[in-house]
Amino acid sequence: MKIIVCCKIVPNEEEIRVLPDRSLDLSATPWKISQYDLNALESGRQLAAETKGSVTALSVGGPSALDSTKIRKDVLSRGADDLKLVIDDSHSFSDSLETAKALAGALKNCGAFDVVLCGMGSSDLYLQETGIQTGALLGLPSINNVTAIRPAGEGLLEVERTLEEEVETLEVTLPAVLSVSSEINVPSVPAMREIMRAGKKPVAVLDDLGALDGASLEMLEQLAPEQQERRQEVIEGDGDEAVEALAQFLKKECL
Amino acid sequence: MEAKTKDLWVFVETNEDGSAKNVGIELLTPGKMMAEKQGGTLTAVVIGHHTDAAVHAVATHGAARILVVDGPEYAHYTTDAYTIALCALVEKYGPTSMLIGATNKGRDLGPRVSCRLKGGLTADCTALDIDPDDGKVAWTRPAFGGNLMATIKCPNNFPQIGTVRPGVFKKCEETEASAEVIREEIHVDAKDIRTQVLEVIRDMNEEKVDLEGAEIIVSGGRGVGGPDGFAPIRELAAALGATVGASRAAVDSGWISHAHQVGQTGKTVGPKLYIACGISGAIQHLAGMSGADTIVAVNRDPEAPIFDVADYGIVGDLFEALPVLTEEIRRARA
Ligand SMILES: Cc1cc2nc3c(=O)[nH]c(=O)nc-3n(C[C@H](O)[C@H](O)[C@H](O)COP(=O)(O)OP(=O)(O)OC[C@H]3O[C@@H](n4cnc5c(N)ncnc54)[C@H](O)[C@@H]3O)c2cc1C
Ligand SMILES: Cc1cc2nc3c(=O)[nH]c(=O)nc-3n(C[C@H](O)[C@H](O)[C@H](O)COP(=O)(O)OP(=O)(O)OC[C@H]3O[C@@H](n4cnc5c(N)ncnc54)[C@H](O)[C@@H]3O)c2cc1C
Repeated sequence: MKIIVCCKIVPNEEEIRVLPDRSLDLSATPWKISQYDLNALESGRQLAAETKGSVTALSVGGPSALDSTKIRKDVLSRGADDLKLVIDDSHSFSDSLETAKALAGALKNCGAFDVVLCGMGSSDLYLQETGIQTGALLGLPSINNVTAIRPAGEGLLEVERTLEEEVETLEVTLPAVLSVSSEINVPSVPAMREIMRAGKKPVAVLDDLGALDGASLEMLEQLAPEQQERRQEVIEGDGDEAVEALAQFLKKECL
Repeated sequence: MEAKTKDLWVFVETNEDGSAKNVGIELLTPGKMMAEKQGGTLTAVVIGHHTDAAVHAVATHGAARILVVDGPEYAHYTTDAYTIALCALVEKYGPTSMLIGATNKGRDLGPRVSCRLKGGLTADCTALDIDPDDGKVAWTRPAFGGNLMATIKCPNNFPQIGTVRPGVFKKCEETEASAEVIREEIHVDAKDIRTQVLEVIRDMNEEKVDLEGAEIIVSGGRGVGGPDGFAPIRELAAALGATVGASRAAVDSGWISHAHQVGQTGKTVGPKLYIACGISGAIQHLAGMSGADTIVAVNRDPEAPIFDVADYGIVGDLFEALPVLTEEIRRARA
């Protein structure tokens, strides 16, 4: 089975600086693979192992994210056989449909495939739509919140989809786009051997973006929420004395 | 697409028994305010099978018009059938904006529909308003793990579509039904449905967890180590009369149900007291609980970021600290 995993490279949200005017400073924020795309890569690795298939990773983003050898190696150490990139700065803000168009354009250039795996939503913006829209643009079925994937014979997959109050088992015809849930697996930590091999795997930069029509959305305002001052009284140790002090604090202040 | 009307639509998701999902009813509340400001009719769209209960519920919660598509092909949600039906309605009636509940199905349907209508979609909104200057919807949603609230507009495309978090808005009071009900026959060919539903298992003991209304919350994270690790959390909560919360890591691990999750992608809470146990304090978790009056943290790691936002912290093992604390509280309250 030929599997393509879409992964987004995002700024590490833990290292974003909030400025006094409540705007964000991303200039020194390092890049990382979007957290839940690690689940998609892991699913791809497992499905490829079960079906003796292959995994291609695909990412669209700006040069500061995608030119990084460290990031490329990180993706390739997680089960992908090769990496395809669409490098374009104009994608940093558009709308998800534009991103989906770029992904769909790239997928048309990837040759035949059986399944496209996406994460549940990106760590930074978490719209949870790009995968579904990519499927729609390519005229392929899409399924979100996938919590299990099983091969079900020629051109078919059996997929479990978890909703708020029910679990569906679905049969989907391939090719299809699946967005996997963050519960589907625990991404494995790459072994040293995989990290060594990653540097030798092929990376291709695609230039055909397809025609983009410009975003339909517009940003009006972006502000960090206001934060409350905290007292930060921290006691070391879980002995009876420490806990008693906490109990006193709670009784006095909160109960 | 052009808007043919100034109407605001609320897509109302139905349950298998034909009743309406809560979030659809909740969205009629902001929908009414928005429709008034936009000068259009608040229209509910009900798609499903045997939907009388859902139609009645929306009619008694503020909808002025109800579009109903009822048929066996809609008994169970499929992306293809629902997309075909909703797009056909939009093309026929041309609403100016549409709200969809951000359930898993809503999050599936929204992008599929917006893509077919060649427009944008603002996902997972937590606040809605109408720009008084041009009558467009101002959609507000969190980004960067809750580091940021972004307000977004869809200036040129119709309908303007957004998905809205369940639980953000409250249902309005029930009123006398006076809605105009329009039934549309839209049939979908079996061959156009490319996913087959083989089986559905319903979770009947779905827990009702009122985190939003809780005065005290005791939450557990990955640090509790497993499903049994929630026992000391539950005991402390019982002693305090508190509700049990959790981090996403604990939920994703399957140790506790999603209904307990606090954070950017869980519940936003504002209790008097929030006690975080074995939770590191990731930005996405803080996004859901930083409005608490007092925050207490119990964590083994003195460097854990949760201590930066805590009023009171204990650096130590939660399995040592919590039972002692629970005893103290019980004694004080006896
Ligand atoms: C503050 C802010 C708010 C925004 N709000 C909106 C909005 O409400 N609506 C809107 O349409 N746009 C919005 N945007 C624009 C947004 O930058 C792009 O539309 C982006 O592509 C949206 O996708 P996402 O990152 O949320 O991905 P999601 O839809 O959450 O991504 C789902 C999956 O798709 C795949 N994927 C997504 N992006 C890529 C990529 N670049 N390369 C490879 N795979 C990928 C991954 O598998 C990912 O897990 C906003 C931008 C900013 C800065
Ligand atoms: C788009 C997106 C949305 C997200 N939404 C949410 C959300 O809504 N809510 C949420 O919570 N997370 C969310 N997350 C996940 C978030 O990034 C973190 O991964 C998660 O909050 C970590 O959970 P944790 O603190 O329980 O686990 P960890 O970060 O693993 O922390 C466990 C902590 O327990 C401590 N510990 C271990 N053993 C003990 C012990 N015996 N006694 C005391 N302390 C102990 C450790 O020192 C550690 O600090 C989201 C992530 C993304 C990318």
